Amino acid sequence: MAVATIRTNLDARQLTGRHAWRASVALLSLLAIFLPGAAAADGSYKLFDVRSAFVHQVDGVYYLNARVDYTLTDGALRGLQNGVTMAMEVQLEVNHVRRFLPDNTVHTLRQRYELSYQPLSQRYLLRNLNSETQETFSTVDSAIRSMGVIDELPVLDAALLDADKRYEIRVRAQLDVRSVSGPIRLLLGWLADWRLKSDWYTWSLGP
Amino acid sequence: MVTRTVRRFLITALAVAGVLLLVTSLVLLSRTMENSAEFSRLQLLIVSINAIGVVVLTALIIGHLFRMVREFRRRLPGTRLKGRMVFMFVTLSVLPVFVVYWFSVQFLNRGIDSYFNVDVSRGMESALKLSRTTLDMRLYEFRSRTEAMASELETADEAEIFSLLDALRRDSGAVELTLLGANNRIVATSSEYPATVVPMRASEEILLQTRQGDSYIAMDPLAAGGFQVRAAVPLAVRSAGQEQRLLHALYPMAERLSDLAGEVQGAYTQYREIAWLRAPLKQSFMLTLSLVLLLSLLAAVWGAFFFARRLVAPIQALADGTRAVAKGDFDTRLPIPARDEIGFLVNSFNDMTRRLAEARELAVRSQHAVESQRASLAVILARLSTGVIALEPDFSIRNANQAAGAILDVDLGGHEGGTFDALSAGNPLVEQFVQACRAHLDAGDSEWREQIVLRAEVGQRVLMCACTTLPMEGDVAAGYVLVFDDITALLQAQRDAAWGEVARRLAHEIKNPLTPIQLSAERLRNRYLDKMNDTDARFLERATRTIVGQVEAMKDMVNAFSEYARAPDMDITRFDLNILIAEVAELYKGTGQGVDFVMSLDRTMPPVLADAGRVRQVLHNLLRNAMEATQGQDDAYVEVTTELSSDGGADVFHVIVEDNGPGFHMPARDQVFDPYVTTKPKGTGLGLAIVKKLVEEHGGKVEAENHAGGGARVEFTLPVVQGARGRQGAGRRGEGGQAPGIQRERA
Repeated sequence: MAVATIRTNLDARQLTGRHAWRASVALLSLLAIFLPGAAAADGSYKLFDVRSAFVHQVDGVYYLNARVDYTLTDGALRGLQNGVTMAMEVQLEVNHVRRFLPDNTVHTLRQRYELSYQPLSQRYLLRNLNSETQETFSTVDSAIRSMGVIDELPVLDAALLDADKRYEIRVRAQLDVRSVSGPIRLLLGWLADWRLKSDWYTWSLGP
Repeated sequence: MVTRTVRRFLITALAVAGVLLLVTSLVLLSRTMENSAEFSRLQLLIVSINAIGVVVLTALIIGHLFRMVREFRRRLPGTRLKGRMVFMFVTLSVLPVFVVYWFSVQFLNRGIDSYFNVDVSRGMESALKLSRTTLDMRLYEFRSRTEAMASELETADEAEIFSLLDALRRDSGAVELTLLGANNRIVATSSEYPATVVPMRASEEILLQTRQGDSYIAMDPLAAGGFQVRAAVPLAVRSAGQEQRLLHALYPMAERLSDLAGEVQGAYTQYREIAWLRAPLKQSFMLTLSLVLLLSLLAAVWGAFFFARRLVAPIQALADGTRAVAKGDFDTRLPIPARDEIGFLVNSFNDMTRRLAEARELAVRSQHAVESQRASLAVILARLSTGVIALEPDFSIRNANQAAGAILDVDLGGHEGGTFDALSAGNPLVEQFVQACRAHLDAGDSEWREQIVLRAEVGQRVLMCACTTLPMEGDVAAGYVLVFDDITALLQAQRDAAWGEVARRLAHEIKNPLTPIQLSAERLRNRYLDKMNDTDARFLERATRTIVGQVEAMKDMVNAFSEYARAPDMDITRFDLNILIAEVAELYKGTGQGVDFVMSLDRTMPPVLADAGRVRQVLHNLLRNAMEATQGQDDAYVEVTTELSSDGGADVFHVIVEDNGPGFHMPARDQVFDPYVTTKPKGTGLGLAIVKKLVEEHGGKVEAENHAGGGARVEFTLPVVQGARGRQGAGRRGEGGQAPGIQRERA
């Protein structure tokens, strides 16, 4: 996006004379520097999948029920086995759908998990960072499976929504590399094993 | 000016900011070397700084490269020097930086690898195994304790379960004991904190494992730190239809053991993480170091361009200034860049151009002065009556004035640049002059003066010639200057004056005794004639007559001499020269000598301003000479011609009297006009002398020569006075349309 903005602002066709080539050179340099990162951000592996999701209202509160399949790459699994703590994030957005204007995001929620390996007990620790609860599992699959089950998670106060308007709710899951420890943080953005996310799972709410 | 200042300020600010960023990144990098945690925190900042710097510097360098290529193609002065300086600077900076980079890479690789040696790794594994063994023993104990409690519960009555469970929890040291039924239903529970803690249910994993009849034991970390042991043991079903029950127990881990276990696990986890991240860590270090290297290199290259440009700029200005000076622009002034050697050079250049400008101005002034002097000299020479000829060292004519051509009767304008000897071609008179001069020049006389007599067919001309050698240029003379004047008239005037004095004295000395002689002779005859016999009387008579006759003749001669020497006042009047000529000629037409008179008179001539009596005398003498010269010839004729012409810029009347007689028989042309020189038997020799004297009294000139076909030709000129010219136009207008031109009459 940043590159696109720069490209728009420095459109070589709008430049004249001898400044054109300078702008071109600067643009190429910027592209050479940032294009790999930008391409990596757009070219993530779709190994996460939101299989189902829905909300239902109980006593003025919307509750989310979702099933997410998390598939970790070998590199991510090796990192997990070697002590790298992985942070998963389930993002939920409630957008007001407007006919002639861009959609307006009225509510967002981030449900964050942290998965780590405990070498002493040889078990996997799954922590729910939102509820501050944790649970251990003997296998990584059981931990991931447990993480993929979201039952009755209160996400939204119904009073924030207008019953006459149409809303769109979407959910996706991704590996949050921001919480990864420092030295690898920059490199993780360049490594395909750690660029894991799902597509948006979207459904409508309202009339 | 303001824009330039702002631009310079911005460039300086950017350069300072860039240098600060570079230094900052290097400082941060050095800090990360000391602490890897700092590296984790600052890596993004370092990379960002360097990335920005790389982009900016790359753009600047490419701009400089394009500019240099453009200047090179345009062959601007100083481009090659700038290229060499850039190459030198880059080479000097790149080589050391690469050496430092190579050593840094080696240090990083070996330093990081040394952290993960085999002994440390093995020690960490051993510590973990030891901890694990210790904990396993503890877990085994907890499991046994739980299984024992489960056995007691199997046999207990339903009513005693609650109390038994509570007693077992206190005895076993568990913090929570829960008896779970089918579907994970809580049958009974006992907790150390019943008011605050909700009883734990069995997880899916526990249920799955216990359903198979196995006990479950695990150590779970606590959110607040430390560990707890979770155990689950299925109870045996003693009768059919009895539900499957499960004892779920939570035991606290001893604080000391929990802390030690936590430390071991934390250290091991951190070590494994770092070990696993070793390669990416090295890559990160390498990437950062490479970026810093790249930034340093680009900064060095840009600095090379920048300083080369700064250094070459004054030299380029000097080259441009030199070109301008070479093209003659001495007003070029260069700005002084700094107070260094280049500034001193530029200052010297400015001083040199200023001096050159002053010298050129001085030279122009001198040239103007020389040209002015030359023009003045040319005017003076042109108006000078003395002839001047300047000769080159090789005797070619450099220049000559108008008087020289007039004296030599040669058009010297066409001979400038030609040889001096070429003047004599076809001109015997000039040939004598050239030979006389060359005799001195060839002899190497530096200064000489000589009176040169040029002999013509009739008469001679006398030139007073002086020569000076121009100042020497080395060993060779710069040239020669010939100065000469026609002193023929001067000599003639001196001679005339001498003759006049002679004539006056003769008249005075001779005339006085003549009268007594004559009177004495007459008295002798009167006294003795009657007293002598006839013979003596006849003798006396004859003798006294002879004496008286000769005395009379002598008187006439003396009177003639007296007339020649006499110089009465001139009576200047204005009259028509043609009319006067016609009147005088008319007197000779009626003499009956059979001489034809041809009158070629210019009727357009203006009236002449002269002494009419003297001019009449001149015409009488000339016509009488012509008549006497042609006396006895059958086809004799006398032709009188008048015309008006310019002589040296001044108008003069020309009167020419020609005849077809025998001509002059004089050895020298000018001797024709000498007194007492005559070839006629009865001539006194004063006729032409008087003519010359009268003409020169009017400011005119007279020349005599012989025709090539025979006969004499005498021409005299009278100057046209300016007042006469004014009346000339009036006279012509008064003639009422009479056609101008020469009318020819035959009398």
